[in-house]
Amino acid sequence: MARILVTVGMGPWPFDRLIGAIAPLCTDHDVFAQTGTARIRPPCPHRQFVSFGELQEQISAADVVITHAGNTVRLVQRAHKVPIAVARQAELGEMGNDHQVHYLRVEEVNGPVMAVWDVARLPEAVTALRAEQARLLRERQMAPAATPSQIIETMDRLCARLVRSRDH
Amino acid sequence: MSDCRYRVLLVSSSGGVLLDLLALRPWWFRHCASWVAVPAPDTTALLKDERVYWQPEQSARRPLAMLTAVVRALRILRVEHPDVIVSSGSGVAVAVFIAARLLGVPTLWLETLNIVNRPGIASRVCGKLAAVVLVQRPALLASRRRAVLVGELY
Repeated sequence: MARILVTVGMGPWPFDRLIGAIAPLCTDHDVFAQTGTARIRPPCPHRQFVSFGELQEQISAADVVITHAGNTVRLVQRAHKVPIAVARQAELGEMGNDHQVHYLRVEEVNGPVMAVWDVARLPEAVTALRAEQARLLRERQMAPAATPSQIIETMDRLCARLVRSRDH
Repeated sequence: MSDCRYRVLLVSSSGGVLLDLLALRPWWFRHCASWVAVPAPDTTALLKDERVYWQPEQSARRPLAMLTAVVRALRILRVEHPDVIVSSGSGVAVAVFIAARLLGVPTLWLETLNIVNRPGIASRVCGKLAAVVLVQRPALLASRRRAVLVGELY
């Protein structure tokens, strides 16, 4: 039995396809789902929204994180875990465009992520992840995040330039 | 906020784009920051200590609503007099960026991390209006006009 976190982010688009597909996991694992605006209630503990602090705690505590292919993917990877990611699709009313699909196609080749395109295969992805996680983390390197001082330097330099050109 | 060298207006919808602007906090916390944000569970919780103008989300598919949003944005900019405006998305930023262009306020568009190729319509419009497009991936430097690499923010 694994401790599994499912999260679909905080945006306004419902992701019923993913939330509806986690029922088989609820019987075999300890699952908590952040369901967002999904119209489906899974048969396991769930809440619509959790605070950002709680989400980070849940990511740290989970054995497996299943997420939409939003920026949560990177949050999980930075916590030294390989997320299982499902992309929202515009034609299914899950997002306004297909940027999650494009992102996940790139990330599944280069990044430490396990992409799932058929949500019926989530249970086998959970099993596969536990065998593959260490290898993916070892072989798929991420760019380091910018440091606070780098962010400050870049933004202050740009602002100085923009304000100067506005004033002349 | 300490020296308040710049007046910064941050503009955000709900979702991952908010995380991008919050990741810039080490920078904007040192200046005078105010927000235009779309009310949602994450924005109301994470911005509870900030000065926020709450505005509805906008879509290019509703041009009349966008027009009234531009008028509201003009009022906000005339009150706030920002030196720069920064946003990562999404629809709400289009109205603010149009108002900023009308008033000559420089804007920075921050491309959110999980945009890897052609962005959505809000990003395309704001990217064209922006004085600078901040990208988190070196691969995007070639395909975005006036792009500057800021690095991955988290």
